[in-house]
Amino acid sequence: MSDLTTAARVLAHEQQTVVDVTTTLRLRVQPHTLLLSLAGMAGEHGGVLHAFTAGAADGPRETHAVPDPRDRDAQAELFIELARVVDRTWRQAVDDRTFPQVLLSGTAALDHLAQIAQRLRNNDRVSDDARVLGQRLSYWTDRADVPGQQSVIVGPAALRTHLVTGMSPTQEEHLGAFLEWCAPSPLMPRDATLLERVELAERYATGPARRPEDDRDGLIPALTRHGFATMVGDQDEAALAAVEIGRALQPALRHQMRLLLDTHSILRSLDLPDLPDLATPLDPRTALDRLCAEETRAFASWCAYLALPDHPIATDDSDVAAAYRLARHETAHAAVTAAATLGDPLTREAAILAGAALRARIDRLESRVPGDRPRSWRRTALHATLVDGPGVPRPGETWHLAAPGALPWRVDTVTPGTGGDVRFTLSRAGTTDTKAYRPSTTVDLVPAVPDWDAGRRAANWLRERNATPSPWLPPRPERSVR
Amino acid sequence: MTERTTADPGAFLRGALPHVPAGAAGLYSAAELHGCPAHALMTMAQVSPADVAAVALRQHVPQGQSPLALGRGTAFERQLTRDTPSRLQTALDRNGLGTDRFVDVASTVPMPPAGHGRSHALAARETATLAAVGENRPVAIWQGALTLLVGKTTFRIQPDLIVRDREGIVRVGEVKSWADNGPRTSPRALSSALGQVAVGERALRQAGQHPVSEAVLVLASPRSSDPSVRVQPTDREATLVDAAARSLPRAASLALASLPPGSTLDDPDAVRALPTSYSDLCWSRCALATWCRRRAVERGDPAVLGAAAASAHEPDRRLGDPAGRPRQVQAAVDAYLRAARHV
Repeated sequence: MSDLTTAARVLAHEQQTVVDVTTTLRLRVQPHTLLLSLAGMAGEHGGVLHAFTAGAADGPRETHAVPDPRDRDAQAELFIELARVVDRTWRQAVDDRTFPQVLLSGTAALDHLAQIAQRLRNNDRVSDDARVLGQRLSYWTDRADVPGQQSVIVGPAALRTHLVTGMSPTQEEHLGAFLEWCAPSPLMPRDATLLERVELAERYATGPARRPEDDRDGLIPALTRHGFATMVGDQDEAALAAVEIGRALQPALRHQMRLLLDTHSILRSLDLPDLPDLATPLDPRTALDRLCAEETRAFASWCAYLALPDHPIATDDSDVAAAYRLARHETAHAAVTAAATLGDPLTREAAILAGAALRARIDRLESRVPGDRPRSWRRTALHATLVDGPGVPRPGETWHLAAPGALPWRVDTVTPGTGGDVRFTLSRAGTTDTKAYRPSTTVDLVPAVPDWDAGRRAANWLRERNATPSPWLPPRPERSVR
Repeated sequence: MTERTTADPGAFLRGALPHVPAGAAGLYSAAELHGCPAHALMTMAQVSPADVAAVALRQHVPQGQSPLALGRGTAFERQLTRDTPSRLQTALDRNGLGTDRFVDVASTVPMPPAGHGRSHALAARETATLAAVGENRPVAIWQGALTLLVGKTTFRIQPDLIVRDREGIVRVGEVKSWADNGPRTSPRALSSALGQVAVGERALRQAGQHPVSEAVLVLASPRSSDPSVRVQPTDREATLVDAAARSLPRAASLALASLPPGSTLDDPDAVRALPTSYSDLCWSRCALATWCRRRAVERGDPAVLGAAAASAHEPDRRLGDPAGRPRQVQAAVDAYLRAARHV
């Protein structure tokens, strides 16, 4: 956590409200985001689904449950229902030429979804629909780890990207507690303090796992009755018990969905400009546009791969999958970090505090041609003094101006001055508009500009060395045959 | 659940609270929270923080697992000891931990109902366990019992598994019914399991044996009915347990010194007078976390904002201090406000 985030937390605590930690939007909520609340079963392996509620924020939502997911047939039916819901979202994304987006209540829900995906995607003992469901869920659970990805919105993480509360990061993982900092829930007592509201919110689970007392008091008696009725063949009693099981599961599912709706509303209403891409001012696309475009490309690649006959989805253990994931993660992290540091003043301030960016005062600017060289060898030199942060440039490094165009400058010399100052000179080829570099002007310098194609180059490099087709690679361009 | 111990010097602190000695999981939680004098005192007094919260603070804090999870765990353990050789032995053999013998201590020494000589049964189980380990033959010991001395207080530990393999290496193991999901397995759950093993290792060392700092974790396999076996190092957890074994009695003494003579932990005034050390770790380890956080907020403890904020404040500086924020924090706040104004 940066000092800036700590500072924001202190302010949030003092003001008893959330505080911004970005000045730009990092996430684009799609019109047809699927809100998905899940209920698992305690003690069972991950990948067991007892019930779910799903739908769009401004559309109808549907709830499906089975009496006992330990019954394979019942569980299979529930997976068919989930497959139908996911299929709708998938097709919408294909028709709109965009990507499917899902909103979950926390990392526990994401892990649960990952286990369902792993259970189904390569399983010959389930129906085709369930297997396709596993493959489609795998898209989301696989993308979730990629920095800057837009497909999977994990509520607390998405909120924390833009806001902080006066709680610790661990406590912010509880979506209900986080939302109380954003706005009091209408279900809370009117005269409750913020801390009292947070404590009340924390009494309720927000993920697929329910509280033990909810299982003890409501679910287990009904499950036991259902199991016994099924065993003796009493259909009526089994049906009654099934209704009671559904009723026992409803409160947690409804509560989770309420939190998802509130999260969706907050993320949609963040009044922030998109994260810009200052490195390419002539290109109208913002950095957020590029991230969404990358998401669309990744989705198209995944769909193309699934359309291939006899494709195995590489498992988590596969060396190929691990190599692709690592390359993709590193390149995405570098691009997103560079874009945020360059384009977001708050993020840049945090980088300066951490020493990853520089802030300097211009002493003078000079333009010269070295020695007897031709005029085309003209170089502009910038003499500057560091004024903030612990970062120090080194000779030979390249730093970019944090301004549209993100001009690169090469560090020539670094000299400690009298009084503890650090003075350095930067140079670049050609002439430079001197208006932006008047003496005593303060400029920010960042170490890198976003390279949006680095991920694709890394994937292509890996593909050349692996014959195995993969859902993570861009489709090979079709070559015309003359 | 562990039983009444022979060395129980903290009994005078319990008052009306039930005697609930910590098992391996509770002792490892105490090790992780070793900076909290109140938690140390409750551990050494062998009371449950949930009982203290309920009786002294009138706060009901739900504890325990869902009966569904408990049932699943019991069924999983029963499966492991089926067949001859047991499925557990077969799984161990597949993972290079082959044994010639399987000693089911729990079956050999059944546990009577509570209050009917369970301490004797535990002592008998411990004798059987140590005898089996000391035979120098490859053996898998199922649900044995050991004693761990912390300060002058005795705790009973019941490790799920102790394995002496064909090379004579002794390891302690834990059985968990949750699935082995490879890299996606919950780190918190793994850490807790390894911590319980580290407690068992210390108990075994106190008994004169020499286990290595490696845990044998027996988990459910997500794709088959056979168990998954992992061997993982416990160096980090063992270091924490060893440090806690030295610090817990000291921390408990510190807490005790803050109480008036004759205090008991069922007295609200005594509990409120206890020195506490709140941190994020408390939430998954101590039933007093909500109460401690409230107290920390009232006192302006920076720990309520997390570890980074706590370390940015000097030890005696508080949130909302009229003397102002610490310099490092003030610099960060100034930078934040400066940047926010530029937008």
